[in-house]
Amino acid sequence: MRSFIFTLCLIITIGFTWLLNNPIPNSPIPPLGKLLNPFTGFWQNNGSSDFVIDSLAFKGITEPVKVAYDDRLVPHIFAQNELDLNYVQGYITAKHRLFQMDLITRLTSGRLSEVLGPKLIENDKMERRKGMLWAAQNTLEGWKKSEEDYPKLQAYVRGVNAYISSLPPKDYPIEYKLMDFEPELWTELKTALFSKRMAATLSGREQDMESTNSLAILGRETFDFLFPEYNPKQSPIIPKDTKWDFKNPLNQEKTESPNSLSLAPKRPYEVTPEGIGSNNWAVSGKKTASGYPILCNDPHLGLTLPSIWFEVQLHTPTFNVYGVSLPGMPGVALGFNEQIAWGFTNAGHDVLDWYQIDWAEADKKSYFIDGKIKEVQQVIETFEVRGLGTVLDTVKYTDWGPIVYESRDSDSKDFAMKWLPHPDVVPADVDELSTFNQLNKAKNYNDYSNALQTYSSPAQNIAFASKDGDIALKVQGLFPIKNKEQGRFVQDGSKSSNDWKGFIPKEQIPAIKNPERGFVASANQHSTSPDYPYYYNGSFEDFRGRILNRILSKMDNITPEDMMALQNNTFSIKAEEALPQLMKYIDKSDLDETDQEFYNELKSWDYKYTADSRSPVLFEEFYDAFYRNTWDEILEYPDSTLMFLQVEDWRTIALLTDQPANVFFDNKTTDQVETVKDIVHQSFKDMSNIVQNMEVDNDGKLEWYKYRGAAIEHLAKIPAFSRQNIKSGGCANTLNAIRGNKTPLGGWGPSWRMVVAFGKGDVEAYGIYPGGQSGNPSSPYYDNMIDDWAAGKYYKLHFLKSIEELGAHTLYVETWTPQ
Amino acid sequence: MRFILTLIILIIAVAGIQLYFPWWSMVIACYVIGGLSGMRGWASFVTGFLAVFLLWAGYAFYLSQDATLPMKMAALFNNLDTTFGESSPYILILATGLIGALLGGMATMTGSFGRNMFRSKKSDVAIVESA
Repeated sequence: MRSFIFTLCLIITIGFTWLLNNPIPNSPIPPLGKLLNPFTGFWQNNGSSDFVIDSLAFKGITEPVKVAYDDRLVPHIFAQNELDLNYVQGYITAKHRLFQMDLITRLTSGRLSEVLGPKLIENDKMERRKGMLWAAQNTLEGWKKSEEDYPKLQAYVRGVNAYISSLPPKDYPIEYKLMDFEPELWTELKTALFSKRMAATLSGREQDMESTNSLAILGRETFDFLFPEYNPKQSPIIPKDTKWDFKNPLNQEKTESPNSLSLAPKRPYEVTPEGIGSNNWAVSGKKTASGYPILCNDPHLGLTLPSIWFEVQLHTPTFNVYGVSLPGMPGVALGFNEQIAWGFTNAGHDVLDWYQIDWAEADKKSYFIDGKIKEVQQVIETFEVRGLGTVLDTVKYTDWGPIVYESRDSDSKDFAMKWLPHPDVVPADVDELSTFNQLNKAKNYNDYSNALQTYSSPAQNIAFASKDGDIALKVQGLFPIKNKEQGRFVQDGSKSSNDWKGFIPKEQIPAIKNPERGFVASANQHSTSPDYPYYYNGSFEDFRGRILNRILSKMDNITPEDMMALQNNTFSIKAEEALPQLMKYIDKSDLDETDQEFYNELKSWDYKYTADSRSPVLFEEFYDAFYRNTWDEILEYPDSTLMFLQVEDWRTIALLTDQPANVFFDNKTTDQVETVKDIVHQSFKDMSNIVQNMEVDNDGKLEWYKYRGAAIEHLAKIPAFSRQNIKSGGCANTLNAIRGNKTPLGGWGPSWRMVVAFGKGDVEAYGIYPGGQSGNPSSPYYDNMIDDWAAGKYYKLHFLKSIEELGAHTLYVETWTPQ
Repeated sequence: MRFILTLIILIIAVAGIQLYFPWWSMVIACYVIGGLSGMRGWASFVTGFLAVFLLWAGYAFYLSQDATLPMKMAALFNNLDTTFGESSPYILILATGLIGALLGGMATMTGSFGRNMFRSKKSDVAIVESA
């Protein structure tokens, strides 16, 4: 009897222990014993120290280093040499952002299922098929060849690993405890993966599938009518009247029309949403109150906690730089030093093309190119899936690139992806690590220009200002030379003549320096007007660039405060153009009391997307209803298998303004034939209905920021670690470009705002980002800056010449001594 | 008396072992102490339960002087708005204590049963008389 009781208790105890230590399949609840015990569980993360403890001896540095943390937990790293600097930067970045670095690199290299289980296998396979790991490996090989920069990367990696190695399980970041896995050591490859992630986010967008299908179904005439490539109202980055002193060596013949190709399949992954981009500009001393240039940049990216950026100052006896860094990469990515400042916005040129493969055999292992048969190269990708074991995926590589999605159906076509960062596309001599290193140390325009020589991807509009008075902007990157309309549609992969014809020579890419008008600016609009000798296509924003150029050209005696106000500007040109055209068709005799109220409100609206205003909601619903009613025949096409283009807003507004009698202004779902008047009026009534229902749901108080919804979500989407409903103005097409998270792929907005003002004395800079320096949700520095950012405030950045200068803003000073 | 002594020793042993070993090592500590304690059956369960409850809940309470993270964690589990109220973290502290206590109680009891299996009935009587 005794042994029975004993055995029973033993089994229960061991069973219970096991249950508390291991994940329950299909349950999001992590092992509770691990998570809740106060010795190693999440309790230990509460208030864990944000600093390295006092003075610590480190093997990895050769000379003493001092780190002063200011009152926003920004580390100001003062080292005696560059290797020590990078080592310490690595350690400190890992200390505050380890989980972020880990998750993003696992995501990019297709290793999420390793720690999070089978539900992520398909995601992982897709990342490998897109060539992310392949591209990163190649990038790293390039970096290894640099005598200058490779040792710095190595030092950074050593620093990161010094932190990770010192971490006992009780101090693992809380996400590891919640998701039940452990950190692993960092590698140089992971830094390369991080840079490829940025490339994917910024230069992976295209609409080849949609365009191909729309052309095939609508026919050339209608297609050209609805989807012209260039908006005549664009205010391009390089002004219209620029003279180009070179010719395109190609005879710009039109591409073979893809009518011979079948309809394109569904793209097997989501592209980044349209308009993800940024603003930057530099104004010359001619236009500023101080007589010295001011440079501004606000990159628009997905808003996450922690933020994609990590603020830092790096100082050695030979250089001094401040700005935001990418956690996982050494150096400062966007920022300034005592002589110069620089900023990035995304250049939306299409550098990703799809080629239809003409298979030679049913087994899809060989294909035709120019009549000859070529074998595919098969690469087996391995995935060590948690809870499942090894999973294999065979990826076929052609001369064009990998087959990203192979259809099971013998009738469907397969497409290979040709993308700039792929190793078989990008030339061997590009090196973005060197670009950042050189920018950090640049002293003048020539240094900036040289730094950009090795930059290839993702293509960026890089703005520049220097204390000695220069302002400049280069649309920097590698741009394929293409025939007219080439790359706009999927292409026939059986002809090598469909390949890119090379890259636009560096000296011929669009650039501008010290223009007459006294400013350079970019907001993701077209780089040039169509008279630029080379053809290019892509995604270009239609409204922000125009309001930016409009305002900047009128400004004078500019101060940093003016620039901050401009970054927070919520005026919408889309509303300014569309609304009057819509309002004039409303039949005022057919409005009830509430309709009349809405009508009056819209009539007196100032086109600003102010946070607590209702008017933007009215406009958005009105315009959306009008859009739906107008384009009903186009909107019926896209479904779960067929991708289709959407008519752009600029085109819709242009047709409304210039061709109101057009047949499209008729709702085909109704029996009667409408005119534009009917459509607009009906849309107004629709809006009124919708808004009145919304007001009922919202206790009568509709506010733009709630309607738009903007959340700043934790990377792993844990609600308790996220911030919801950020109260700020702006929409996707205003300078303060905040897009709500209710849309697919979530919200994004200005992930960093920076204003750098040169002057007779020291440079002064202001900045802010929506998050906090610490990735630890229990830290007071986790999300401390969000409210100020939403309110349009800025902090004065402490660009120090010495640690002592920090004075009362010093939170803590760490002294690192070499062991 | 044996109860208090065992309780104190349990708390010290579990705390000690958990400082250096994975969390489940506390099960081993409880088992061993349960065996050595000479307590029996439910008594040992209660002792183990109380010891770990006090230790875990107490330490958790001590660590949540700044309630930021516990409140967020509570919200995570309860799907509540993080501004629900200051009572939320206490639920978590309670849960922490209870889970540890149940396991600790089971382990201690198992240990005592294990020890008892090797005793003869006669020595049981001797121990009871001297308590």
